[in-house]
Amino acid sequence: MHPLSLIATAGGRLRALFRRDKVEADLSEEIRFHLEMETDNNIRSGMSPVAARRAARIEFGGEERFREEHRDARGSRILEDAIADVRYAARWLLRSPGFALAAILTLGLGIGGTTAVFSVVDGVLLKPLPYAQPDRLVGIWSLNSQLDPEPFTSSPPDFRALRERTTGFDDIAAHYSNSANALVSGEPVRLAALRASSNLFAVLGVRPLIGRAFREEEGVYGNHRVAVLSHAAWMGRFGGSSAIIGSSVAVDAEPYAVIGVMPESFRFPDRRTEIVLPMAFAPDSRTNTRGNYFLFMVGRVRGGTTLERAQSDLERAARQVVADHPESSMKSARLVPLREETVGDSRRALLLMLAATAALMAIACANVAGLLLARAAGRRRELAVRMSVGASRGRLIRQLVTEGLLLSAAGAAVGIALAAASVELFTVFGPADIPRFDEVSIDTRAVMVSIAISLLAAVGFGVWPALTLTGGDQNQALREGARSSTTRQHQRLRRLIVSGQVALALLLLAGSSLFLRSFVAMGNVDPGFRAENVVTASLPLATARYPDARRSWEFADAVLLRLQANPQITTAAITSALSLRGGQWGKMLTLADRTLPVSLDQIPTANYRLVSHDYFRTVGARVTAGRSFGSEDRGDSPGVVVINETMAQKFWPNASPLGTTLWLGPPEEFIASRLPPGFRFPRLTIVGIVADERFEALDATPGSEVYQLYSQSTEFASVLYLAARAKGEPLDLVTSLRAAVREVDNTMPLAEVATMAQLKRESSARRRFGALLISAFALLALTLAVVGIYGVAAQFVMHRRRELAIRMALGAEHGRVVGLVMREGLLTAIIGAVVGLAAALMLSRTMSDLLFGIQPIDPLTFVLTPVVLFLAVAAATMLPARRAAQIPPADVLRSE
Amino acid sequence: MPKDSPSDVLQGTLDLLVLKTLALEPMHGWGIAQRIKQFSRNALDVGQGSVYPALLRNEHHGWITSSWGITENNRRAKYYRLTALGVRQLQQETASWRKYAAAVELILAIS
Repeated sequence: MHPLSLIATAGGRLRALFRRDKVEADLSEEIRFHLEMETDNNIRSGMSPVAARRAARIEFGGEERFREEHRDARGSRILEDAIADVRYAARWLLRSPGFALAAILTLGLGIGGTTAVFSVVDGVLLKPLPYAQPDRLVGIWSLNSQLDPEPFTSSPPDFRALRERTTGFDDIAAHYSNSANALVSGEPVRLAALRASSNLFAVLGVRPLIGRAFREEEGVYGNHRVAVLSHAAWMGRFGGSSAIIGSSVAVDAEPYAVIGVMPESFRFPDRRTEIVLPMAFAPDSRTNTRGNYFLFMVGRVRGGTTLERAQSDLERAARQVVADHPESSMKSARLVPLREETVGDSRRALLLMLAATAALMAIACANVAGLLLARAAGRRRELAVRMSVGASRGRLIRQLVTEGLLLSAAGAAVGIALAAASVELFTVFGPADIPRFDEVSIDTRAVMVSIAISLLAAVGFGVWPALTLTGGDQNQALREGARSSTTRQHQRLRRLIVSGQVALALLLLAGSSLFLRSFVAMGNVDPGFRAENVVTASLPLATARYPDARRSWEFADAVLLRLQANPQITTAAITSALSLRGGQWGKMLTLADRTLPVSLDQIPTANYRLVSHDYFRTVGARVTAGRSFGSEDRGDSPGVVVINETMAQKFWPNASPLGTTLWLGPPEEFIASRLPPGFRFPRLTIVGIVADERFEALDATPGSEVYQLYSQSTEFASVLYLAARAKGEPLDLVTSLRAAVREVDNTMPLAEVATMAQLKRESSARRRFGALLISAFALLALTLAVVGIYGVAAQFVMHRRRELAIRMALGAEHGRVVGLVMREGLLTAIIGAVVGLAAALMLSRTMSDLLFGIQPIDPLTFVLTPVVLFLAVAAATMLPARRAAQIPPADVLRSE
Repeated sequence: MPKDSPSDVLQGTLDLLVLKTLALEPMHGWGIAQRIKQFSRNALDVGQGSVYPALLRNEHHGWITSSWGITENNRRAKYYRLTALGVRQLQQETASWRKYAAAVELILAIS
C-alpha cells in the first residue's frame, strides 16, 4: 500500500474510533437520505407510499447487517465490539437479576472464603519468620531419656557446654519465659518477661528499634540489670517516648536500666513477651545446675552447613557433654527448624481449613458453571436467531465469554470485600492461641489465585456452551427450540457437576458434624472440678523478696488467713498449679511396694503440685477414696499425699493404693554422688484418691497427679495460684482478694484474674471456633449443592415439558410425574453422596487426632449427614416436580 | 451462516466500481448505487446498503473524501469525491482488473 494511504487509513480509523458517535450519527443520516431518495423514486414509478418505503428498505438490505459491515469497514471494530459486548452482557445480566445475583454471590463467597483462609494459612504457616535468614534458625532440644525420647528443655550448664562444643552453628542462645513484677508509675504490674542469654538478639538477627541490644558482659550476674522492652509494652505501659532509654524500671524489686525497645515485628517466642531481661544466675543460684531443665535453645546453623550436618554435630557435642558430666540428664540433642516449632500444632488444623475452603471454592465454581450452562441451553434459540440474522460465530462466542468475564469480575469484587471483612473478624474473634495469628493480613497472591480460578470457571464454562451451541445446524435449533442433543449433552455435564458438588458438600457436612460433636463432647467432659463461683488469680513471687520456700509459704498462709475471715468466701486455697492455668511440674516417683527399676531412665514420673488444706473443697474436686488433707496433717506430722484416679489405675490396677508409701525422687543410691551423705527423700503415705482434674485443657488426657500439702514440703514455686469459692458472684470478690494480698505484701500484684468458668470457656474456644467455621462452610456447601440440584431438576422439567404433558394427557397421575422429576434429582444426589461418603470415611481416619470424645467412624455422623443431605435434596427437587405436575397439559401442547 | 449472495462475490470489485463512478463527478451514496445499477443494466444486484461500507473503505484508504452538501431537490446529503490518491488507485485497479478479466476470459475461451 502507498505510504501516504497507509497514514490516511490509520488516521481514518483513529478518527472513527474517537468520534464514534459523530460517525454513527452521520451514518444514520446518510441511510435516512438514501431511503428517502429510494422511496421517492419508487413512488414516482407508481408505488403506494407504504409499499415504496418497504421496497426501499428491502433494496437497501438488512440494516443491522449493514451496520455490522460498516463497522467492520471502519476497522475500529474490536474495541467497539468489546464495549458493545460489555454493554450487552451487563444488560443481559440486569435482565435476569436472580441469576446474576446467584452467580455473583456464589463466586464472591468462593473467592472470599478461599482468600481469607489462604491469607490465614499464609500468615501463620508460609510467611517467613521476621528474623534474618530464618531458615537457618533451629530450636534445639535436649533428649533426656531413652525410654521417652520426647524433646525436652535444657539446663544452664548443658546449654553452655553445647554452645562451646558445637561447630555447626554460628551461635546458640537460650531463653525461658516467666513473669516479672515491675513498678510502672508506682503501680505494681506483672510483665511477661523473657530471660535470654545475651546473644539472643544476635542469633535471631534482630536489632532494637531504638537503643541497643544486650552486650556479652550483661549476661554475667551483677551486670545483668538492663532491660529491652517489646514495642507493645513500650507503647502500652511505658508511654511510647524515646526518653525511656536510660530510665530505670523496678523489676522484682531491683532497678533495671531500659537500654532498648524492639520493633513491632519482634514477637519472640510469641507476642506475649513484654520485657526481655538478660539470663544471669547468682553464684549461689539453685537453678544454675544440671538438675534443672527449663531452658529453650535456639541456634543459627552456620552458613553452608546442612541441617543434617548440624544435627550430627549437635549429637556429637551432646555425647561429649554426657561423657564429661555423667550426672547430666541429657542423653542426646535434637534440632527442629524454628518455623515448625513456632507453628506447631496449628499446622494440621489450618491445612484442614484450607482443604475445606478449596472444596467450597470448587463447589462455588461448579455452581456458576452449572448456572451458565443452564442459561446457555436456554439461549440456544436466541443464539440461533442472532446467527441467522448475520452475527458471526466468533462474535457470539466473544459475547458469551464477555458475560463470563463480567460475572467473575463482579464476583471477585464481592469476594475481596468479603475476604477483607472476614480476615478482620478472624483476627479479632479467632482463638488467641494460634501463633502469629495477629500477623495475618489479606494476601494479594491469594486474591490473584482465587480470581484466576473463578475466571477460568466462568470463561471456560462460557466458551464451551458457546462452541457447542453455535456450531451445527441452526435451522434445527430454531425448529427444535431447546430439545436437541447438545442440550442433553449439557444436562449430562451439569449432572456430573452437581454430583461432584453433592460429594463435596457431604464431605464438609460430615467434617462439620465430627467437629461439632467433638466440641459438644468437650463440653460434656467432667473436668474434675466445679467451675461455678470460683475466681482465680496468680501471685508471682519476686525471688528477691521470697528467696526460699519458708518465706513464700508464710506469705500464702497469711493471705489465706485473711480470706478465710471473709464472709463472702466459702473456701479459699493457694496452690502451685491450677487446672487450665498452669504451674505444674513433673517429679520422679519411687514406689516402696515395687522392685526398684534398673536405671534412672526407667523411673516413672507424675505431675506434682503443692496445695493448701482446703484445695479440693475450693475447686470442687471429688475425693473418691480415702480422705482429703485434714487438720491432723501438719508440718511436723508424717508426710501424706493424695493421688488422682489415673495414677491409682496406672500403678495399682487391682489393689487399693491407700496406705502405700512413695517418695518423690529416684532411689537415693542412683544419684548418691549428687546427694549429701545419708540423704533420704521424705517417705510419703497415700491417704486419698481424687477424681481426675483436666489440667492442661478440657480435651487433654489427664496424667498421673500427686498432691502434697505445701506445709509438709520444702519445695518452692515462683508463681502461686489463688482460688476462692464465692457464696455469690465470684468476680465480686476481686476487690477483697486484692486487698487481702496487699495487706500482706503491698508490692504484690493480683495478676490474671479470671473465673474458673471463663478459663473453661477459653479452653474450648479454639475447638468452638473451628467447629463454627467448618459448620459455616458445610452449610454454605449444602446450600450451593441444593441450589445445583434444584437447577438440574428445574431444567429437566423445562426440557421435558412436552413429554410430561403428553404423559399427563394420557392419564399419568400427579404422583408419577412428581416421582419422575424427583428421581432425576435424587439419582444425581445419590451418585454424589456415595462418592462423598467414601471420601469422608477415608478422611475422618486421617484426622482422628483432631477429634475428641468420638470415634472417627462416628455412626451418628455417617448416618445423619446423608439423611440431612437427602432431605435437602428431596425438598429441592420437590418444588420443580410439583410445578411440573401442575402444568395443564393442554397449554403445553398448544404452545409448541 | 447466511447464504452467499452475488454481492458477496463482487464485494471486492465494488470498491473499484465506486471509484469509477466517482471519477465521473462527485456523488452521494444513493446516486452511486443508482449509477452502478444503471451502468450494469441491473446485472450487478448489489444490495444498495453495501455501497456505504465500500465508500467507507475507500475513504479510509484516502482514495475519496466526503463532505455534506445540498442536492438539487434541496436535501442534505453526503457527497463523495475522488482524491489524487484515488485517481491513481483507480488507474492501477482498472489496469489490473482488465488483466485479470482478460486472463479469465482466455481460460474460459479454451474449453
